[in-house]
Amino acid sequence: MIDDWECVELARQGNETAWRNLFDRHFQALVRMTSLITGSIDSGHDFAQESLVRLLTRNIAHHNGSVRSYLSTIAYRLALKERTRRGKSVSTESVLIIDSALTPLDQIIKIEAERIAVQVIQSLPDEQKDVLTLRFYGDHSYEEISLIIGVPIGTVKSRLFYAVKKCTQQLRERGIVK
Amino acid sequence: MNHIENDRLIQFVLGILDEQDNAIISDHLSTCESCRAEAKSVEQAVRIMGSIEIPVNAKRPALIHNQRKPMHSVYKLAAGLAVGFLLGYTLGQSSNSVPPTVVPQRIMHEAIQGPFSGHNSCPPVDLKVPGEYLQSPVR
Repeated sequence: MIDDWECVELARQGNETAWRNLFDRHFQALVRMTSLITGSIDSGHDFAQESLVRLLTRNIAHHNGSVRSYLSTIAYRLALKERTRRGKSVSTESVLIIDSALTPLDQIIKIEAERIAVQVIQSLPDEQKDVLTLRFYGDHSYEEISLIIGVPIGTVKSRLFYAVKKCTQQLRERGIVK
Repeated sequence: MNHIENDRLIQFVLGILDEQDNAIISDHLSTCESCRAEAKSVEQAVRIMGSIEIPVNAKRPALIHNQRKPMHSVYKLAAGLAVGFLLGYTLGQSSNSVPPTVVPQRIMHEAIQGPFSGHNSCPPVDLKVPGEYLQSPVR
């Protein structure tokens, strides 16, 4: 399989297959992350696309780190700007999807769990939500999150801890986890 | 046996403990079923939060061919000059292709002054010359 950075170079030269590979590998994760941050699926799609386009159009001085990390940094900044502009995020209850590979009963359980998980994440303070989404959906290390957000690593870990603590508590209260 | 606090288990699952604390909790979990179940519960919660499916409209934007480097200004100037030269040359050629009306100097002189041979009549001139000269031939 071609390395992500090689795909970037090939896509810049007009190689459609490389472009499709990059899109297939990263688009969905970017949509998830930006949708959760902004609370809007439409914005999530826009920012995921914008991030991928910028990957090809911007001059990248070095190839340190992963392409996913680079993309999610762009996407996060776009999402943050949008959230700041709008002031407050909107509900993302409509983000649920039905996995056709599961039985109907399992579908219901899965949808229920995910719907509640979305609500719980959305209820987090922005600074905790950002760390959680960057960690779980952005493929970022704690060090990278620290650099992106501009806070010490200890603060990143602390925010993630409180985010997960609150989410776990609420998922337990709602019977999603034991 | 002292059980591990839930907060410590969350930190353990997130991997944000130092090596020493990590080792202590690992040892404890290997022997304490209650704490192991608690840790699995946290793991499950983390897994759900990190695997939310979002319906993605995978419409791939068109590939942008942005790698064509912009032409250097010197090359632009050279190209402009070349085009200008060719255009000028072509126009020059096309204007030369329409033959101008040329009246030989001797015939023109004869038309105006009369033939050098001293004849009184105006020599037959079939070339286009200004009419005022033809109407009043000079003797």
